[in-house]
Amino acid sequence: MEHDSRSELALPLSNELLVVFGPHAGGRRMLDLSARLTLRGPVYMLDCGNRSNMYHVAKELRTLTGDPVGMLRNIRLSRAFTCYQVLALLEKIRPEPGVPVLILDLLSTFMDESVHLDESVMLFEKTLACIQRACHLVPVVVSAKPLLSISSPRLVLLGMLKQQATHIWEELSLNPPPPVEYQPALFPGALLPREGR
Amino acid sequence: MPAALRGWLLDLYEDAADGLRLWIISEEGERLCLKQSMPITFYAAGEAEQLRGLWKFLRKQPGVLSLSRETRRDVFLPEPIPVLQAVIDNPIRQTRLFRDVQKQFPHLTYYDSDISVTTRHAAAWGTFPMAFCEFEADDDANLQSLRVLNTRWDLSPVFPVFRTLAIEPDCDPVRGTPKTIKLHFQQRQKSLCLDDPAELIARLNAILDEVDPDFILTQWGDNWLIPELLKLSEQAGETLRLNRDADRDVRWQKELTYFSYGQIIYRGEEAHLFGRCHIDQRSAMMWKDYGLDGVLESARVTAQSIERAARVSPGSGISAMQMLTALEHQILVPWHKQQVEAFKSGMDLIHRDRGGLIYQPIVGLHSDVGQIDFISMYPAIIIKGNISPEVPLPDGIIPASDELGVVPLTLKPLYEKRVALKLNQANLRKGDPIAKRDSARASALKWLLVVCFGFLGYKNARFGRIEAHEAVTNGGREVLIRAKEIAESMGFEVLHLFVDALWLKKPGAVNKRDFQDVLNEITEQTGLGVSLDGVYRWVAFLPSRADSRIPVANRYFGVFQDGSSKVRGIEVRRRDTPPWVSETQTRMMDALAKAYTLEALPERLNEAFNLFRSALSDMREGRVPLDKLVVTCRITHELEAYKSPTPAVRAAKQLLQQTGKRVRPGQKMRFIYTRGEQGVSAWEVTEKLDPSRLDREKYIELMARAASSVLYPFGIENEELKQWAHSATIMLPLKFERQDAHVRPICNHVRPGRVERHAGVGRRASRSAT
Repeated sequence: MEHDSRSELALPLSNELLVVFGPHAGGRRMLDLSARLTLRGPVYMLDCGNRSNMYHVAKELRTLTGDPVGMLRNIRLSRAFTCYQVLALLEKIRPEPGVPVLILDLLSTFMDESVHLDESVMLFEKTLACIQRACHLVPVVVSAKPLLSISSPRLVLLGMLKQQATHIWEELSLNPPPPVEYQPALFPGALLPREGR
Repeated sequence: MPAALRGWLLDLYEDAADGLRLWIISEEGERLCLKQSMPITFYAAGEAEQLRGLWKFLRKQPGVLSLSRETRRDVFLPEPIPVLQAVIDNPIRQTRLFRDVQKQFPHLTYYDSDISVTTRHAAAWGTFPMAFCEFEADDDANLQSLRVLNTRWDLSPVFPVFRTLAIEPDCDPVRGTPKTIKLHFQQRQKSLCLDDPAELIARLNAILDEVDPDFILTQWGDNWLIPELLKLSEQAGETLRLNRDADRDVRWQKELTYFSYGQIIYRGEEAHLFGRCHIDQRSAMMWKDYGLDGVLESARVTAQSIERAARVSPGSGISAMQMLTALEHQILVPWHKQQVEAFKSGMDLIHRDRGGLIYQPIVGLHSDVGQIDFISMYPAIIIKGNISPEVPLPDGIIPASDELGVVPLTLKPLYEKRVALKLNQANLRKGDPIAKRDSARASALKWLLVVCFGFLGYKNARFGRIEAHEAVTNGGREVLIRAKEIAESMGFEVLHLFVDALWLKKPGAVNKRDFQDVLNEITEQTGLGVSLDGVYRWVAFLPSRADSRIPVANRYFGVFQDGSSKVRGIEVRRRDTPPWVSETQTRMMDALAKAYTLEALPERLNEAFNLFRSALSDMREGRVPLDKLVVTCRITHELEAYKSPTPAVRAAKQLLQQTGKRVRPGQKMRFIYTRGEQGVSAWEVTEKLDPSRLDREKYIELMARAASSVLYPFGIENEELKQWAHSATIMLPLKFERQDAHVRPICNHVRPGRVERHAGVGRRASRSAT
């Protein structure tokens, strides 16, 4: 296992498991990465923590290509909201050569306090087995976030994930908040009432 | 016991020996306990070899009545599937057995395995809490036959005369040490001293025997009163007979912290009784909103026990109803939902995953405005569009399938009952006790309907599916756009759209009939019911605090023609606003509400401003009672996890240090702003606060902020008001000598620019100091 601390995620090219660990499960970096991957072809995105902000991906794509809409069509996205669904999704997916798999916020659903810890561990072991199988065929990038204090009994799951990783890309500190963006005014300085919509 | 009797079903629960115990209130007023055997069926599906293994395992277990291979319908699969059906003799045995089964055979898929006994009984017998039934029983109270004589959907159910015992301590146990408990029953009141446990328990038992209550209503019952009484009963060496079922002890439901809709929620320990219902009014969900009438209605339509209906969220109620519908239609209820979202592209997600439609409001003061609401829009769309996880989804609200799915099947009678209750209410005079009761019942139904849409997308909903959730918002957007176009084609200006509501303006439209045609047209063209929430004398839409050029959805206040006011998105609606601030803000708006027209508003402005000024004087002169200054905030993490502690966290740490009481994530913390390093004082330890320690400036700031929300439409800026309030120039009052000068620019230009408003304020500011 290797730790990496570059500021931008490199495109995953080899069939390995890269774990991105940081606040918000490396949300923006994962989305930026997905945008860059779409330029090369299809990409699977398995969203396990409601982090697939496609507006962000579209915005990133606009800086990379003249056809952001076409590139967005390269994303094959499915969302899972429970750990049972995460496992079902990973069991369902059939990795195709050249189609990398991004898994956003993998641990999120396994923190569900209504699922017994033993059950979570059992499901997570199966999930990791699916991920390992996929890694033999395609690059897999998994993101995870630091656990909340109420989830501390489930730290073992994070350890299991890190153990399986070929590389770990770890954000050590919180990112500063993104700058507030205003829509450019047509007439700078003018404060116009909102006319028709 | 007579061979046949009629009465109401108060409570039912599992019993290891009897199967079920049912408590009945007979027509004659007797309270009776009957016994009923209750075999429980569950199913397993999966690979044949594993099913075979399960069959072998179950065959050896005691209490397994039958094992068979059946074909049943899984709602998420296109064709019925083969399943192993296991029938167990007793609900308690089934729960224990299933625990072992799922551990030993974790790869199988299970159905109908964790459904509450009340839901199963409802599916099998048509029962529900307070169902009026005909029972036949033998001499040993074993039920021989059961016939339900009414339905969950009755509009005017008849209830027996309930016996109620209310118990509360003489003070908030969190803030003080109660010395007595007060009891209310049969229009009597008694006070029992807590000093002598033996006497207390003896007297309490005597009252329980005499009253034999159906409901024990408490304050702080779950977390203080009942634990304390049980402790005292142990000290006295005498059993406290809280339960009607003498064989049972109080059942404790463990405390719980969980995530819900992005919030951390804390649910304290709960004390449940057998044969009668305990409701702690402080931990009961929505008690303030709809009371016992609403709880009974919620229990009735969801077929959950009364104690459970009082405590759990409306989402749990909807879940219970959906399971009941599934059982009634022989559809399997999955133990864990496993179906996943079909793959879609990034563009598909952008197109489909949107919320409700919002058009930002036109900021400023307006008259001749009516507010139109779709009646329970999302439930109506689910029903009309037949939106359910197992049926093809519509694009819009035209159904793609004729056969109603589980979700619309569940919601249809609920929706129709609420609409019928609302219509009935409209025909009742104000103050009619039936109107009050029906209003509480309608409110309970409203909450169930409100959550049903969110529940479609909820992770743990057995019959949820994210695509169905998206289809509902898609239908909502389409319907609202259509309504907007209809209104505009009829000459109305649309001031604001917010998910299921429209604010329409037309010069001269000042009463209900001016909006009747547009209501009819929208109903006809969309097929959904709409109602006129009211016609405003005037309404003010407020901008963002951070940037007054930016309008904010659903942040407004106004007064209807009948004098009632409507407020959204300002301080009075926030839970963390201290009562002193929210009460003053309400009074200021009430003062403005006396203006019948926009033109009459300036006359009321001085009155509103004086209320603000007088509140500030009260603060400076120490006349505000401390309890009016309490701020309540929720703690969302363990205290040690905070890097920059918020005021609430600082107060919680104080509480921990001084009393050893730890505030759990999801619990609320009450505190007062004080001067000094900490900046706060936990309310629970603020017995005698030195008035000089109060952080008056902080409260003045909060008050100025609240007042500026009310005064903003009249050209008064937040920062300006704050400065004025802090400047301690209370003796130099701000005067509105030519009020019309402040109002007119805004009245005449409903889309005011900053320059205009500033000009108004500037003129006022120059005249303000006298």
